[in-house]
Amino acid sequence: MKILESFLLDNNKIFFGFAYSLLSDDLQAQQVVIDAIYVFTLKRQDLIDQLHDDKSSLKQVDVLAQINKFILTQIFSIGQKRIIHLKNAIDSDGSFLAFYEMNMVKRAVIYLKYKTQTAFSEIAEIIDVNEFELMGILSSAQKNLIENLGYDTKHLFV
Amino acid sequence: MNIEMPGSSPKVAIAKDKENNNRKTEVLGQTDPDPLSQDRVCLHSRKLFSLISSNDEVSSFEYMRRHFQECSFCQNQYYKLLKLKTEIIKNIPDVMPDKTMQDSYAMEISEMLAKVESRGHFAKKPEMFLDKIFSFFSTLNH
Repeated sequence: MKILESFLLDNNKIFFGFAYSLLSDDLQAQQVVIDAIYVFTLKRQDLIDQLHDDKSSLKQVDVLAQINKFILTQIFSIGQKRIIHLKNAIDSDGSFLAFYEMNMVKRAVIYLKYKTQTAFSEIAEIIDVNEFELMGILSSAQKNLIENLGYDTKHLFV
Repeated sequence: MNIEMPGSSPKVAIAKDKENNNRKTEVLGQTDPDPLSQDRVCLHSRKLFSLISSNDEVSSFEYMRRHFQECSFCQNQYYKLLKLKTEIIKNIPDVMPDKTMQDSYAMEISEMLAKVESRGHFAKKPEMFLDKIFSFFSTLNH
């Protein structure tokens, strides 16, 4: 259990950062991360067992990668449900307005793409779309963010 | 009596519109002439943003490298897009939880995992018990 605990503590920065990029509130982000880990402990006992099973066919690194993906998926899923209730309650401090003007899916894609080492195929799984759809979302998210920052993108995608 | 102001005639308005349309748009503080109005537009530039967004795959970069040496249009677009990529990264929030939050997170995680561990022991007990029963029957058969 020590391996899992240290993994969860080390990856808190990624989990929290991702949740914050979705909800723009630190307390809500923290709670979503804890909820996602709680769901993981309830639903994926098999991964926890594999992590501590020396005879497991999967390497420890691969199991941890799967755990990481599962938790990020849960953060996205719970965050999506929570933002509906919190839309009016969250008080943004005005920073990163260009980023928060985009919708949640675009924010998630942009954050995972540029701030984490998550592979393209994994991002697709986390936000539950196929890779072709993801390409479209990423492209339009980048364009939106650039436009929200006040740049003219008319001639950049010639 | 109609008094026509010098700047308000339709002709002047149309001329102003044209001037506005032809005005060079600014991208990252540099004047950027409309690429479509230039003599030479390179179709390879369409792939540039995908190339920049890709995870610096050597093969795709190698493919474009030769082209960059020859095509000034793509070079200019490429460097503009690189700057924009930096802007994008700069404008993504990357917030760290503070010390209090980290402590409470650590406490919650350790409590949660302690529960999982105790649940795991309970889950394993029947399995061990079944193993013993099976081994007992197997000895009876022999």
